[in-house]
Amino acid sequence: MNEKKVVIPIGPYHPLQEEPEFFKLYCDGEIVRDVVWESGYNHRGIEKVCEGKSYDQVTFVVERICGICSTSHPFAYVNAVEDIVSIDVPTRAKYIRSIIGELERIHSHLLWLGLAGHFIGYNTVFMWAWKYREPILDISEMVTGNRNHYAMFKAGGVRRDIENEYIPEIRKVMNKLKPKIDLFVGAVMDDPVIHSRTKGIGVLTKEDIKEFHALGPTARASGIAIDVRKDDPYAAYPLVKWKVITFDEGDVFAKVKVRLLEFYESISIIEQCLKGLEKEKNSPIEIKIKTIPPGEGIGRHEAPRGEVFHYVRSDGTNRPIRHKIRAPSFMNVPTFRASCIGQTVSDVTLILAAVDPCYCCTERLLTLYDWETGKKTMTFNDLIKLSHAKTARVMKKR
Amino acid sequence: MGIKEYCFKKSLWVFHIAASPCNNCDIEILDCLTPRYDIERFGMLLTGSIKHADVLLVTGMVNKKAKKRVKELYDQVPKPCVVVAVGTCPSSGILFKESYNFAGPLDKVIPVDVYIPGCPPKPEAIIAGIVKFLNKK
Amino acid sequence: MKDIVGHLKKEFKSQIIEVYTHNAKRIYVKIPREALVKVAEFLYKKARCRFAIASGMDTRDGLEIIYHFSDDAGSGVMINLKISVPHKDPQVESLTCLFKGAEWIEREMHELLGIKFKNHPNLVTLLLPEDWPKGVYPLRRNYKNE
Repeated sequence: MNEKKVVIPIGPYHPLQEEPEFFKLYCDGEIVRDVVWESGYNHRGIEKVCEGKSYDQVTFVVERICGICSTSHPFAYVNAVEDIVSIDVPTRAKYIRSIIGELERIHSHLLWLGLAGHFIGYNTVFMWAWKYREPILDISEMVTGNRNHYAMFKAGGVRRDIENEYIPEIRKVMNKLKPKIDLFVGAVMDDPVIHSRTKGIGVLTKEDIKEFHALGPTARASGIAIDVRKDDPYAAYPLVKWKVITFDEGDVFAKVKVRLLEFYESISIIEQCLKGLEKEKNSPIEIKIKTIPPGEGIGRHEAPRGEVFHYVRSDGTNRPIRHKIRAPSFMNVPTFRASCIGQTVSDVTLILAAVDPCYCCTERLLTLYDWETGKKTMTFNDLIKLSHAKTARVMKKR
Repeated sequence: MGIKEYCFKKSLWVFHIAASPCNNCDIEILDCLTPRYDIERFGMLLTGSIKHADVLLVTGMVNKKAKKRVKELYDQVPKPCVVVAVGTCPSSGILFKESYNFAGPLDKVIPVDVYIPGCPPKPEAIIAGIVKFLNKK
Repeated sequence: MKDIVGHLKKEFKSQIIEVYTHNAKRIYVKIPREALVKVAEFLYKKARCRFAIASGMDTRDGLEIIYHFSDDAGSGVMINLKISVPHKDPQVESLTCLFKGAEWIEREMHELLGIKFKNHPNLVTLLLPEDWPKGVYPLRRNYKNE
């Protein structure tokens, strides 16, 4: 590397499955010239751990890959096991699965929205978003028994039923949530400061997305309508009406818009699923799977951040012999090579956050010292401060 | 009142180390700061710099790569400090103890004062854990 | 593109070892490792499939790699290219010449399974700690936890 360049380490801790992040930004003045990624701080060897567990136990292991999308991994995993066995789960179980999946999408997007607000310097958004996230967690606790790590899924169906008494309560929370989302949408769409901080920043073109095979909202904000729920329908998604949100701009603002509008789709999916549940009263919620034949299966689920991919191979015993897990950030994070280079340092925080690589870990990103001797280093907090300062500058200009 | 109790009487500043967690305990820690639990009322703050911290919250099982960093961070905290193991992972490693990248429970790496079990512990449990420690005489 | 497998069979008649259909949406195609780049190029450029991921695994007959390609044009078909490399000579051509999205997964397989990818731009460790012993691959069958 050129000696003149300043190295700014961001990281190392970041927790989505095997993708902890530690970025080194090579800067020339204010402009980022290269992004280098180092990892391994979060590698827990889950794929190997899964090979030592029975099919039933694996659902609990994969749940602990990520705390934010703790339903996505079991969802994809049970899809994979059901693909090996070639069974179709009962309709009531399908509805319950979709409800849990969408509740998770809502709370994950709210979490992201709060942190994105924090990055721009709008701490009120951070506090509000997290405040409105609590009722969603309350529903999860009421229905599943835990705020996160729901343990609702099992191969062949779901572990617990959503009791009919819970349905009005869930409806109530959804109805209360809608005006709050309207408020956020209004705040984002009308705020000139947010516009000038996010528009035209970190643009990913369609070609970039195809080159890196990026997924989820990152791809949908660049005009590529990939969504496993539509492309390879599973659970209750083919039974309800909803649409895939896409925008063509590919910048940070488009990513914000995609996530904001997805709230409405999720709420509508949940409401339709609740109606479906009422129709399917007293029907079974699972099929007993006796043996799992030798073979291989692929399961996919559209997590809040993109497609989760699980590949399971069975040899006829009660343990998988290979379990491959791919979380969406594994494909999304490399896009930083395309989106960050040429941008200023204060914008990079935003670009990194826009992909939503589980950014709840803001405060965990540590100072690294002496990374390469003689070169100036900066903490992540300094970076956030830079970002805040830029917002202040933009505000003053107006 | 010993020096340690005196130091921790008011406004604890917290630093948060994530040593390969699943993210969940970390969200619950952040949750403590947000309006429903709002521990900032008591002057508790998440700090960005380890040099300002009184309390270290460690989450996640410690893997081989993170072990060195955790040790290094512990050396940088101004003493006395409280080390809190949040969640079951740092306390015992639970299902990750069979993993090839597991470097042992947290108390084999740095001394731990408080263990808060749970997967993840609820924000109430995290607050209760700290309060219990402070009331211990 | 409709009927991707039919096109594949027509284009690479002599090179396909076996086609196995688990169900309408999950198709496994076994090919020799020499043909990998060409078949992958066909799937990526002509059939416009998305590269989902590659799974490597250790089997009795050698190291197996499955490249999962997803057709996103509404059919939901996953085409899985299977190649096998012997334990003694674990080498295969890298797919990074086609798309950058393969870079990380190849690095991961390189360190967890010990497969070498020829012409990879940056084949360094991705996940394991710096002091991990050389030549020890945790996802191999003969790996023992200390």
